[in-house]
Amino acid sequence: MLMKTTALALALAAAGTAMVELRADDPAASSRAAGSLYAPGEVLIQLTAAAQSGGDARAEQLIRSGGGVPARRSAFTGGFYLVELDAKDSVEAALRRFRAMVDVEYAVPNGIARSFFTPNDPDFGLLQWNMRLLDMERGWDIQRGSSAVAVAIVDSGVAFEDFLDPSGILFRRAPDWASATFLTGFDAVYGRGTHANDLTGHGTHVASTVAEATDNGLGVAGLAFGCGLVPIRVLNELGTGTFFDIAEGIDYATTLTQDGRRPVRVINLSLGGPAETQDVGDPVRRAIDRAVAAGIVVVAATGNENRAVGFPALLPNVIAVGAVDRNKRRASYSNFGPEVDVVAPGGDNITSSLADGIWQQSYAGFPFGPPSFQQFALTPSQGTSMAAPHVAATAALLISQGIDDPLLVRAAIESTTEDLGSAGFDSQFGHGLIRPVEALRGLGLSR
Amino acid sequence: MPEQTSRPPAEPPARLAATPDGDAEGPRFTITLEGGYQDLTLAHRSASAVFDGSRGGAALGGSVRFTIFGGAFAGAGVRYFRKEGQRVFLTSVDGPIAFLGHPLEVRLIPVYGLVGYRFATGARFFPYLAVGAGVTLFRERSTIGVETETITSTETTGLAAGGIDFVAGRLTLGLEATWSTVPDSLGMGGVSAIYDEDDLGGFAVVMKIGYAR
Repeated sequence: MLMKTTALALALAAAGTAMVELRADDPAASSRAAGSLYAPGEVLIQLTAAAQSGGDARAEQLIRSGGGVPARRSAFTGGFYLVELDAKDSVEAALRRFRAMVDVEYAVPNGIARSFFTPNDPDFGLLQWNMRLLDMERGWDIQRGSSAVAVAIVDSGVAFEDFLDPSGILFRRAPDWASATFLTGFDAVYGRGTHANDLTGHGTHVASTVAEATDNGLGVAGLAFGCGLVPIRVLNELGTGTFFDIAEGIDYATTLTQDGRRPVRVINLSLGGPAETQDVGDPVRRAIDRAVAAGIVVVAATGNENRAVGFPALLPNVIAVGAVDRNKRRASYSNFGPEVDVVAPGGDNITSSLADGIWQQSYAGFPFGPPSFQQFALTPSQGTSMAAPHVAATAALLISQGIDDPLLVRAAIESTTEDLGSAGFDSQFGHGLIRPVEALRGLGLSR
Repeated sequence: MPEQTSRPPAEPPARLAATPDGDAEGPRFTITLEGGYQDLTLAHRSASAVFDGSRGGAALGGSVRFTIFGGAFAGAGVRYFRKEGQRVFLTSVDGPIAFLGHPLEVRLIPVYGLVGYRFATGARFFPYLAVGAGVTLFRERSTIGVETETITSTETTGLAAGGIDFVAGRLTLGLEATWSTVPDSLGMGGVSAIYDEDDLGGFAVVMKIGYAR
């Protein structure tokens, strides 16, 4: 059963309904004429108070002298008209004529508003500042993820099934998966085969950032909610894992075959150790090399010690992800250094403000208390562990959109970031804050 | 007393009777419709990227020309080129191209004036050379998700043309090749920035049919 935290109980009502944004770009201001951003063949004009005193006859005379035909008059605002243009006329030319008339207070195109995809998940608008920071409502209008693209969550497991473990623990499936696609998982820790159930809540939270069921009237949203997930358990109930188990988990993801193809295209590693552990990290490094050679994009968290980037994030063939807070500042804990590639929302200061965390479904009490394997809640967490799945999900969206080459996926992510901190690449933010929408847009001929 | 002999005047040269009004250098006025192929030669890599390997397409147009004096002529013309493709992603000139499926449309409308010279051949064929200048109206439109982005600009254009007209009575047929340049029209963004191509010009060949007087 989904329970709400105290902070959520005090929260405001969620948005919940379709959101409309008015865009009325002025085409005269730039060479970029906004095609469907305004209605063709129409302009809106506001007559001055003096011109309005002449009544409709005067207004019609003025509008016709400007080359237009009065089509509608506002029922609420005096002197405000919708003007139709001749088929051979252009909005830009008409605007120039009307704006040159002293009796016209202003003239603008008749902008078009449309609703973006706004999920109806009740807590999306209230809690998920991270999704809005990444402009995902526009992103979901472009791509929501393909079930043929799977993200391997190499972590503490995922609460994806109801299962009675031989240890006596009854694991329950988290409620907000709905039709999420789970491929066959793998437990590297206790040899439970495919039953990679979550031992801490960490893996479920991470997986939910990637693909929590969205627009289903429950909970919050996942960034690439159309993609598949592969739960792989490499961390134990203490949240630690050996390099052997981690390498096994990565290799499982690399070699997983379904229907004659390999569905895993992205591996998320919200785990790691200090940089110096790379000296003994050959098993993990080689497993990552094999994954990359197989065409998989590997994403890893940089670490939460406010020091040098950890291992395996520091590896050059891994996308190392640091964390920013809701104000795009480097999170106080986020490791930094020349190995940071990009940053993503990771939250900060949740001990003083729960709203600043990354909210996803997980075990009730996570991350502040012991896991309750049968009870779930929307829980806030912070860390580069929370930032990394935003990048993994973005990679999954790009692959779903048609960028098959993992090097191009990485280039698309890194070349479309919002530059933060010092101009250009820097050790605090890497290339900058990811912008999934810009990456999904691609390139045209001239822009 | 020697006989005076006279001979009837020689038949006028055939060429003088070949054209309306007997103009040896060609028709005084022509108006033609034309159709053919436009190649984005100077941005061929960028075009190939967004048009999935194709670098040009069909072009339609028309022109009017009139004789100034002798073989010299002046005129004006317009063409219309439109092609559909898709937005892509790439990072280097030799790297792979990923096709994203977002529809893209490019439209070019060159409007130009030109001057040239027709060479008399003594027959109904009139080869010619011409140079001209004008503007090209450029529009690129992309649909990304539910959003449509349109980019428009008007670019200075120069051109050189060569061709041959055949005139029979009031009918004129012809074939023309054109080389155009539209400098600084690309290269500020998109794939053209990666390929470092900044000119929408290139080679075109059209067949013409029209009215001559």
